[in-house]
Amino acid sequence: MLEFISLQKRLFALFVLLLCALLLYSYDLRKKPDTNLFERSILLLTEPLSQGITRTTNGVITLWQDYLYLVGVKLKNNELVLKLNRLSHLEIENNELAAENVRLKQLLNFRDRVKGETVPALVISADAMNWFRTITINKGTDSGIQENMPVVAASGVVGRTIKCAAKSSRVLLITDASSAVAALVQHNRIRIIARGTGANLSCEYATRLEEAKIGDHIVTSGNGGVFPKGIPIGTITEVQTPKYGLFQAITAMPAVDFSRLEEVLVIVKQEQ
Amino acid sequence: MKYWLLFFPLSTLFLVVQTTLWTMLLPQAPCPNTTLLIILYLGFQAPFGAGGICAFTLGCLLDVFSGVTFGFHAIILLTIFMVTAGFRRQLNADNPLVLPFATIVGTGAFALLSIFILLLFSDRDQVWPQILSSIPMQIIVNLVAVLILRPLFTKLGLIAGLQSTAPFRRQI
Repeated sequence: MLEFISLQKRLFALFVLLLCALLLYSYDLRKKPDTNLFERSILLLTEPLSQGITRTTNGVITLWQDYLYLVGVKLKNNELVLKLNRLSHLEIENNELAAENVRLKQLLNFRDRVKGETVPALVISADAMNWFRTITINKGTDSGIQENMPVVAASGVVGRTIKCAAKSSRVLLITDASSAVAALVQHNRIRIIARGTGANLSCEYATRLEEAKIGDHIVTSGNGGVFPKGIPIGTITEVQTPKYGLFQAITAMPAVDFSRLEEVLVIVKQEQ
Repeated sequence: MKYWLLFFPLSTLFLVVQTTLWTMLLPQAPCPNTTLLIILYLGFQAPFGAGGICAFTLGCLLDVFSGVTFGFHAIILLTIFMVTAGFRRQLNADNPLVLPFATIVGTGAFALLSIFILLLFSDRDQVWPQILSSIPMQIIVNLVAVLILRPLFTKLGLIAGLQSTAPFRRQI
């Protein structure tokens, strides 16, 4: 045996490494969610780069939309177009400010509705792979954020924090397949579990005794231990009642448009 | 160490760009799995030990930027590296078609291994239709990416002193 190991030393070492990876994954899967030193260091080191790229790209996009696109027109129409350019620049800026104002007002109103302490944060990046649904926000443990804290937007539940570094955190969206939120159908109070399916939500364990209808709203039940009660999750888009079985098959569309998500609130302290 | 010092920062840069710039400019488009492409390249070129450590750490790095559980991508990428490195003696690694071919097979293997591990270890039993449906588009995106990135990998490989183990080269 020893002779075999010494002959296949490198292969053996790789198998040991694979076993280590397997044990690491298995251990991480079973324990309470936390962020290890490696993850913290990488997130801490890459956070300024991520922020820098996001800001620069935003700047370039704004510059392109507000100015460069109009350069050709400006050459043709000289002073008049220069005036128009200035006005359109101001208009775009105003529109952007107005849209931001509306979003922040909504968030502020929502913040007042949420019972507890909240930390506002900006979305700085998305998941590196296409089949996981996570985002990174620009606030972390320095702002009091820990793992497993609820993240919400003005229109409803976004997800929960899963990895936290000093200045950034990863958020597991409710549409991810590993996310499950204890919920209620708002009008008839059917208890369900809203599980992510990538783009939508699948509502599990909805009893057949009370029928859910398309268009019904789903809200958090407050039972899962993460989200406070009564925050919108989504709207039912499909209901199937099989001939046999105990439950209805319900599909819902999330209340939050994740493709346009820019600002979020992390509930760092919930009122009991 | 040289491979690691070259390919770890490169992979970090790719991942940061992928998670920020890519999602801002092309929010709906699938992004290439650049870490997988690096591992496939190393699988053909790097020695077993150094390449294995690279595969493991790059997997851990990908876990920081993607997914839920730490170690998930480390298992997958290390397995893919081992299989690629195991097969490289049977292939002419210097042929420009080998890496694109490996990308097609590797992307499929990455997806299937993901499904297998998720079904085996966690309760993400709804993720497999999503992964399976994304494979064709992911293969196309990865193929385009590998064609663009191959010269860069080759340059870095030369700096690191990587040498392919293609049969004809060994005969020389």
